[in-house]
Amino acid sequence: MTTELEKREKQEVSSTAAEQMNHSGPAYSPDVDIYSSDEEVVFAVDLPGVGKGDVSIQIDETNTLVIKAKNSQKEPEGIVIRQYQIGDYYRAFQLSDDYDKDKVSAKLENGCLEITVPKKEAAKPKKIEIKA
Amino acid sequence: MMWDIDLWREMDRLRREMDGLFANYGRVSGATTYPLINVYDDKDAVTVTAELPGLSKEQVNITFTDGVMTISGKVEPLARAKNMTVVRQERAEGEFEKTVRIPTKVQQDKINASFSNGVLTIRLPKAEEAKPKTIAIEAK
Repeated sequence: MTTELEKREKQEVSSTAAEQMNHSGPAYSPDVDIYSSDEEVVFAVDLPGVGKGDVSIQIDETNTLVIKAKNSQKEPEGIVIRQYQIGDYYRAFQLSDDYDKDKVSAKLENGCLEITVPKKEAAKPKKIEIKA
Repeated sequence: MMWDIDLWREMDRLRREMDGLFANYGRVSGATTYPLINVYDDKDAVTVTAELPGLSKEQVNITFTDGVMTISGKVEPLARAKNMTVVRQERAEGEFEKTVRIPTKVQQDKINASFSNGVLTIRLPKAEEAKPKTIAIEAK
């Protein structure tokens, strides 16, 4: 018997963040994985119910990466068990100056968003040749 | 004060309603077991929805045996992140299995499932005998 894979309840984001969505109803904080290498940083964001064209990704002048998404999941009638809430998503991350915000790329597949932010050339580690 | 009494009555009604609901759908594996599901019950069908972001339909198995529906599969780690440093990990990863007992008789051959933007929707049409009947009152 394997141990059960856990999933925590959806976390509602603060009302100020939700207000920025220009949308009524609560917004939720999506689960995010972040991976980094010498070259880039990758964000994997779970956005179930979100289709292409319903996501906005912005990096402002203070290097804050803001992810907003509109949930277009249609809910049937007659709820009897609710384990998850349906609502829009909002999440923000602070990036360091080492990243090149003009070269951000993203793809959305099966409700999972993958954002890649490359490092600036100057911030990448340099390999130093040792001369004989 | 009037509203006081009404509030208590309302709360009691809600509590009894909730008890009734969960008595029927009692055997769902834990509320924190991946994936999270919602269950809907209307006069024609029971609908179960599950959030499985990042998975494709080939990665999910659904079975229905003796009134118990099981959703299982495996959430694979992000392939390209294999040689990268994990900075933050919140997303679920690994094998999962979730069961829901469906308390009404359903037409097993008419169960259908669809997958859209990481949301799985399984519709289980009720058997004719499980649908609510309207009884006409005859005038005499």
